[in-house]
Amino acid sequence: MANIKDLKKKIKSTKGTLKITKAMKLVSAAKLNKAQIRILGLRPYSTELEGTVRTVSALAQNYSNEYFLPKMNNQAIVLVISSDKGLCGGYNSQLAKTVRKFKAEHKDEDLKFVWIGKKVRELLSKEVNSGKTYTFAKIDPTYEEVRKIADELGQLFITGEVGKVYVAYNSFVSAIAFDSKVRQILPMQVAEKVKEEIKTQYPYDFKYDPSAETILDTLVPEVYLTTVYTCMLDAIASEHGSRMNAMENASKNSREMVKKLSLKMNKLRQAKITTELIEVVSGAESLNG
Amino acid sequence: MSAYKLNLFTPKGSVVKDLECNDIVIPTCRGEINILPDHTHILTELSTGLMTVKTPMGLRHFSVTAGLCRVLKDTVTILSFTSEKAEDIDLDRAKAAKAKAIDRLSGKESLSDVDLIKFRRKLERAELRVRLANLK
Repeated sequence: MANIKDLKKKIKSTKGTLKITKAMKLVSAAKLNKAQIRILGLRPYSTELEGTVRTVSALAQNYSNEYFLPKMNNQAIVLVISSDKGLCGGYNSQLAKTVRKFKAEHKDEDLKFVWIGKKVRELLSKEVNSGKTYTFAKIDPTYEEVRKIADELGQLFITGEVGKVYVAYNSFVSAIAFDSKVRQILPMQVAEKVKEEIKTQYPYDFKYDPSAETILDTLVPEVYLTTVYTCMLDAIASEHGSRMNAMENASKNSREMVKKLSLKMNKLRQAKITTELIEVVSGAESLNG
Repeated sequence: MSAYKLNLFTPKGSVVKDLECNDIVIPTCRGEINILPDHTHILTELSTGLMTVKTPMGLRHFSVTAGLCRVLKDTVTILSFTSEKAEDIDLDRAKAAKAKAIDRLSGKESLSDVDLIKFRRKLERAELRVRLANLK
């Protein structure tokens, strides 16, 4: 049976943990706020841009770009965006699970994994063909840094070294929810069916200036970059959201624990006092007797 | 009822959304175009410059850089890499930036090709800001 001293120690350490988790929650909330503004600001831009390119490429007859052409290569590269730090709930394990599932579904492809963030790499590197890890100068990557990575992967695709490029990341839904997914970013494909749909939706006679091909030539690389950047910001925002939640839960649990332990300690103390009292009283009784 | 709704998006966020307007002057890679009611559907490349929008509340000015402009039905969508409202410009800062860029480009110290392009762009942007600030 636990004695009072042990319980006291336990309560003190739990209170210490509570302080840390509370502070971490506050920090994550502030970071989430910033990350949320960034991702929500970028989203309209990237959706519009992607939508436009889809539409134009569907409407422009016989247009092709090096980013569109499917390759005969069986090799594929998967960029896994996870976090460098833990204590963020199911953020990394869920992503690892999704990647495992993806791997099982794509057995016919020769997958190679490259990493941003070390947590999922640690979880998976033994089971998969693991490649390079990208790191950034600061915690939050700049547009230029993401561009470098995207260019590197894009080059691998254009030269034909790999046939497909995927990104695995957690997409930001809200502060308490994220969605792990693997997305194919190269080759950019617009399915024939979608093309037909777009054609019926846009029966307008678009005028292009200078020409549809020139516009697409400049836009397609931009779309590719923006897609990678969106994934990156999505991942960052969901990491902070996930950590905030995990810390919120941890604080709640610590508070409950402190309550439970204090109750137990008080009961024990009371029991001890009662026993001592009885001893004193019965001692006095026997003297009188 | 205005003829158009203007959306101006950049990677850093939306500058304006569903702004009611009737007349827009947009800098494109082949010169300025003026979008008036019942304009044809058009998709064109932007160039760096000033965009002027006539709204029921008066004139508004924006700077835009490389990007895309789409006129479809009653919406005009501008996707620009960067954009600023005239109201947000700090004239003194823009002037200081311009002076600094001119100084660097004056050839006192030798610049690498990358730096040369960088400072030319900086000068271009600073000049644009000064022009924009003078319009407010």
